[in-house]
Amino acid sequence: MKKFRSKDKDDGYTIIIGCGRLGAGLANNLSDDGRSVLVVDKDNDAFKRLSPSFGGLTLNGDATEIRVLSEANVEKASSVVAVTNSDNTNLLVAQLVKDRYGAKNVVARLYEPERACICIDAGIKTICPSVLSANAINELLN
Amino acid sequence: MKKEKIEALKKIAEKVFAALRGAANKISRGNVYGKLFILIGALISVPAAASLFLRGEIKYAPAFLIPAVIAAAIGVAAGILFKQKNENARFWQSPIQQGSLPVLSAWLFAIGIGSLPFVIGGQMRPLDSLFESVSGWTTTGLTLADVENMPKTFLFYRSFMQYCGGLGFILMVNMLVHGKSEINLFNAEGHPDRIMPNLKKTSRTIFLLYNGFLAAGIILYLIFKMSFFDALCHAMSALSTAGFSTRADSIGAYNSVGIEVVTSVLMLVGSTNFAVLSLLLRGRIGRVLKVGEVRFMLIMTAGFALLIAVSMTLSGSPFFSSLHKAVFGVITTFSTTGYTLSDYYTWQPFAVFLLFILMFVGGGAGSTAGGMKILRIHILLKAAVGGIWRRLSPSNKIIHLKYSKVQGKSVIDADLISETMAFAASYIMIFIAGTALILLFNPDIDLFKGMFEFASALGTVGISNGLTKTANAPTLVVEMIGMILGRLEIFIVFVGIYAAARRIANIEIKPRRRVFKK
Repeated sequence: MKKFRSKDKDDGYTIIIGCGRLGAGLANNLSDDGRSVLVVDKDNDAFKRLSPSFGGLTLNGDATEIRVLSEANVEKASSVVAVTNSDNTNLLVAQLVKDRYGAKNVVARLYEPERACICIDAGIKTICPSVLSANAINELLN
Repeated sequence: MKKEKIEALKKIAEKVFAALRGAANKISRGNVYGKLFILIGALISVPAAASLFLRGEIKYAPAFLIPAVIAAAIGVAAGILFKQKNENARFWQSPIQQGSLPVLSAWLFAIGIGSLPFVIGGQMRPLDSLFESVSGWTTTGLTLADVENMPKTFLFYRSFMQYCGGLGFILMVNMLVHGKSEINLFNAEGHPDRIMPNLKKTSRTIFLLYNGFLAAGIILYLIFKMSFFDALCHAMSALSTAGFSTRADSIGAYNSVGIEVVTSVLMLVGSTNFAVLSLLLRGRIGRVLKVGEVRFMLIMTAGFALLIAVSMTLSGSPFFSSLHKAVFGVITTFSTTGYTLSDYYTWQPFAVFLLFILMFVGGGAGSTAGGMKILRIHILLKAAVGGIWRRLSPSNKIIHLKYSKVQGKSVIDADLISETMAFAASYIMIFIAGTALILLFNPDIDLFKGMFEFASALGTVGISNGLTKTANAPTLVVEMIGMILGRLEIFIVFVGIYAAARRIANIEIKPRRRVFKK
């Protein structure tokens, strides 16, 4: 019984914005772990990337709109991940979610590392594919 | 001395507990067939527990315990012997194909095992009890039982089957254990709604809603002076839109307006989809009324009831009493419940024909009701109107058809229309084939009687014109097949049979390839 309870308690509610390769992969992993997930994308066909065993919700809409964010119940989310293919969208959504809804854990993906300076003060965590790859390649070279 | 004893007991308890947990772990890691079969066994043992509370009926307990033990044993064997196969091996298959076989086998297994209690208890002949079991699990409500002379344990069992059949086995299994592939099964069993961002939570929410309404229904029935046993049975059957009664005259036997109103409300709740119900409970009535399906349901109920009432008034009966009868009749038919106040088949042809149409419409998608589902009819009508509109408009005008779901507005695209059309066409073809077979086996009945009875079976409605009670064996078999197809929404049965054939004989239907030559 204990096992069940502990699993139920801290499973949280993750909102993923952008259902591309990264967003869909992340959503699949979380859903397979039995967590609560909601994926937002403005293109309905993007949800085809989700695996057939995906058990979470999908929401079709532009996440930069307040209406879509409140429909996604952002105020209840424990973490929000912005991984669309546009840095500007990711930054805008991350700031919206942080300021307006006070989400605890906000992660944004940025292709351009220099834009990360906007996020540091706002308390938004950033992931930069080019920096990560550079580090990884460095390690391979050494 | 005492301390030692207590410690020894503790140790034994711990060991038993550990063994149970080990077994549970093994089963939950085992394959899904095992879990489903064990669940079915557990469900069938419930009436045995109920027999303890009914005076002098404990002698019927073994009739339920024996099948339950058989089911559990098969389940444990299936769960432990056959380990879960690597899911990636079948990754290329469509989700519905992966899910179809477990769903179909669970339902057929439940039907087979579920007929045993009637046979062991000496209540019915084997074929009749199989029919009763099919009618129970598929929430139809056609019956061969002699209700007035049946022990209460069996009456409880009939309603309990319908209650569980309304929820569906996959949903119950999902609530208890969670695996990767369960979502395929969930979709395959016909639950299109996701209420929560997590499958387990969705199942739990639906389960809680359903049980909450059951409790409310029982209390309301008790207020209107039904006995507790009858209240329990009727609430279970009304909520699952099934329609087994503990009286031969169904709800009409009570002759009480209060009970009729409670029944109508429960039937309406049962035929509304769970996403709408959860919105309703959160108090967002404005949004509920915007959902196309709900609007369609309300307008349809009002319209059909008025038409029937007016037609009855024209032939001489007072307006209000005929409106009252008509409203109940319309709700019980489109919700595919099948509770009756009087014999509907004796109504005038116009009214009977309207009820016949309602049997095809059925309840809301993702509810416990059968039929073609209101949502599909709604989409088809919109497509039909759109088709006419397109011909009246300039040829380059773009027409966007939309319908509103709980989640918001959604576009009716070509995929959705073709999917809906495919279902409607198969439904009608099965209806034609089934009616033809029934007419073939019963040469002395008139055409409409056969159509009415088979539409009732296929839509899992359960309103009978008396054909079933006196039916011969082949007719019963045809009706059983109709009920199973109706409950599992047709495609899943065929895909399941195909998947089983592939498993067993490695038969593969290759899609015909077209070669284009220059």
